[in-house]
Amino acid sequence: MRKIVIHSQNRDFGALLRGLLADIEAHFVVTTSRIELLRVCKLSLYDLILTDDLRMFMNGSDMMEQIRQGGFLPQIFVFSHDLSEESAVALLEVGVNQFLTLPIAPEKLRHKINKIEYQQ
Amino acid sequence: MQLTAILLSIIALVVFYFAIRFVMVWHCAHRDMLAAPMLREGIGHIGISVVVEYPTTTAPLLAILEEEYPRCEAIIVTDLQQPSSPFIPLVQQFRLVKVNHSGMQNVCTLYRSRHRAFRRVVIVDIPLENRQYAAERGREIASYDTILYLQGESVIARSAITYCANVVALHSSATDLVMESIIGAPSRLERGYVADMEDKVTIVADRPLAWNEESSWPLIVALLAPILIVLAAHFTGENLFSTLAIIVVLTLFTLLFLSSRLIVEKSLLVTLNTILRNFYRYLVWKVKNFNYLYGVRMWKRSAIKLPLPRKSFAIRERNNRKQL
Amino acid sequence: MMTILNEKVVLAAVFPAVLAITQVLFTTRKQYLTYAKALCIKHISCMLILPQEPSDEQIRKLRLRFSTDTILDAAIFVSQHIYGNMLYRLSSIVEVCEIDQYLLRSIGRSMSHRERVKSLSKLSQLCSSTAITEQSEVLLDKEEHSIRTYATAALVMARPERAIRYVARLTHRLSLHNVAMLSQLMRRAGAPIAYTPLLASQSQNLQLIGLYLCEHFSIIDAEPLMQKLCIAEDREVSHAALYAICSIRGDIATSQVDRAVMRLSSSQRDALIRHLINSCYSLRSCAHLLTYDEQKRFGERLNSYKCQILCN
Repeated sequence: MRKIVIHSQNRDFGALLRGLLADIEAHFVVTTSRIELLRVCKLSLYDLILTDDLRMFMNGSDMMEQIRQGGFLPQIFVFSHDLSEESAVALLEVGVNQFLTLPIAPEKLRHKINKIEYQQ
Repeated sequence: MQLTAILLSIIALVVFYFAIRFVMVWHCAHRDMLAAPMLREGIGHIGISVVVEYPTTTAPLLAILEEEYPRCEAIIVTDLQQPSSPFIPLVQQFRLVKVNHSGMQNVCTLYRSRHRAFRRVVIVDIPLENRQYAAERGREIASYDTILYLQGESVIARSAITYCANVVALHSSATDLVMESIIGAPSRLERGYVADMEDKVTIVADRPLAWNEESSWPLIVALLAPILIVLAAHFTGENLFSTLAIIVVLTLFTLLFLSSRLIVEKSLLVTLNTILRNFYRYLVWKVKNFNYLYGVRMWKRSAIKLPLPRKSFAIRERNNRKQL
Repeated sequence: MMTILNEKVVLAAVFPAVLAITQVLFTTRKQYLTYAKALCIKHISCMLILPQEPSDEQIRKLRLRFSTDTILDAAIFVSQHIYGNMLYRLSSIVEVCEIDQYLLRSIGRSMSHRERVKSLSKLSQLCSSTAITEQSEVLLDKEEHSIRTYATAALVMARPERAIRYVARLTHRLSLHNVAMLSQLMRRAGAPIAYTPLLASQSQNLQLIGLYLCEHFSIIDAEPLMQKLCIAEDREVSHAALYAICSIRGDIATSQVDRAVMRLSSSQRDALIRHLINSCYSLRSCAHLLTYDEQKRFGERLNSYKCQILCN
């Protein structure tokens, strides 16, 4: 079964994603702080991380290295209102797998998530 | 003792009056400010450069990097010659490189990052003895036309840059404007550079643009003041002290009302502490302004023109008088 | 004696007591509202993904469980974050819960200009029913510019096929913020917009929206029309066209751009220099637009983005 982390410092966005993906067969964990996200990633191996917190990858804190350690590489999808090419390319350079602009089409998001290969 | 009590009561009444005026200034600013939805994506070409002068910790920089608005940058003016500077390790952390600064006087080194994710970080090394040039150099280096100046340890409020960008976008591109907030740490947003202040449109923000890690003495004084006055009333037997206590409590309630109206990320106690400090600064400015106004009346006939004090509350009061 | 002592105790303790109570109340209320809104958003988004349309009964259960304000904030949040077919289901939820009627009533009731603008801007964020159209159209004839702007925004969302017509009716000039907001709503509502008729329009507001969209989506094909707008009589349009050309890295060696730059004030020219540098123009390509001092400033600023490479 897929394991998915939904991380957002804004509870509302976490709730939105959780609702839109309610009928997908997966084990979900919702985190609201970066410390919690790191703790959850260390405790167990996850297939996918959905987050709107793009700044955690751009504040010099090496968040990507801490999330992806031990050779396990969960897919990371980042959501943002920011449409600038610079931010999108910067995130892709850091190692983010997909950069999704808001607003999102729920059908397309569900289709993308269903396509992800189950790693465990 | 009765005379002391009368004098203190008069002073307390004056302070209460100014507390109400302070709330009215905020109310006018709140009424005129953004009722429209905040746009989170980049608005046209509008960008904000935040110039922070000589912070002693990295907190101001990290707060700016958390900002969602895409077109913004942090320009940290600091003295890297000090060995204890917390920004020296950041040069490696953010992959900063030394860039050209040949045309800029007083600047020892200028750092920018090549890494796309850290393009927002700019560090300017200006020795402390040249700190009077910090703001000007920050303005020269800024990538964007709209600049937010912060002092020392001021940490930018959450979504403050998005808010500033939205406010700037509400005004015509031909308008040079200045925005300040009467709540929170001293900060100042400027678009366009015009030597004469009179030509700018001045805006008063109704929310804090930045916060300071401040001591709690205003809050402690506010909590202790009614208690001390009541004790004085009890031991002296002077009833006017009770009247004084009532006026002080009413003043504190007025400022508590203002604290509760602010939509902020901080707790009520921290907000109240900040507002008490801002109110204290407002009172100090009013006292100085009173001297100034008296001086103007005296010298009016001799046509000596005294310059307007370049303090934040001068703008507020001018706007307040226009609106009220 | 006891009465006087009690009064004094009350005076001394009233402020700390009220402060403590207010702190607790505010913290509790904030936590409750945050929790309620998140839960409401989750319920709404679950309804959106149901295989069949949610029934009126299911939607009314939402109304029983949450307050109107909570449902309103949740619906606005969902509307801002999704697009596509599911927005129609969201509009059913808004209609059954009577959120749009609630907003219209508050617009009619409130005396404060600010409250009316806030309610209208919330209405414009929702995909409201067409029944609201008639009532919103009445507001288009109001005197206040902001009321008219946000009534237009609400109508654009309700009837996107008429978006251009509604915007053309506005007689006052829109600010950049309003232009950005309207173009965002038009895109979200799926309004049929093409840049050519917008840029060629006689309405300055439509020209500004066209320029904003061209700049936003880097539409290079629109450059000839943008060059024409550089010499428009309206300074705002001319200024927006100039910036749009720079953003798409268009040709700035034209006479139209030259004339537009001549009209700028000194602080606007300084701002333009920064924008040209951000758009990656070289000094040589911009030299003809700038005075000697400006060229020097341009050169210094441009150099501050470069490292000096020393070769042995």
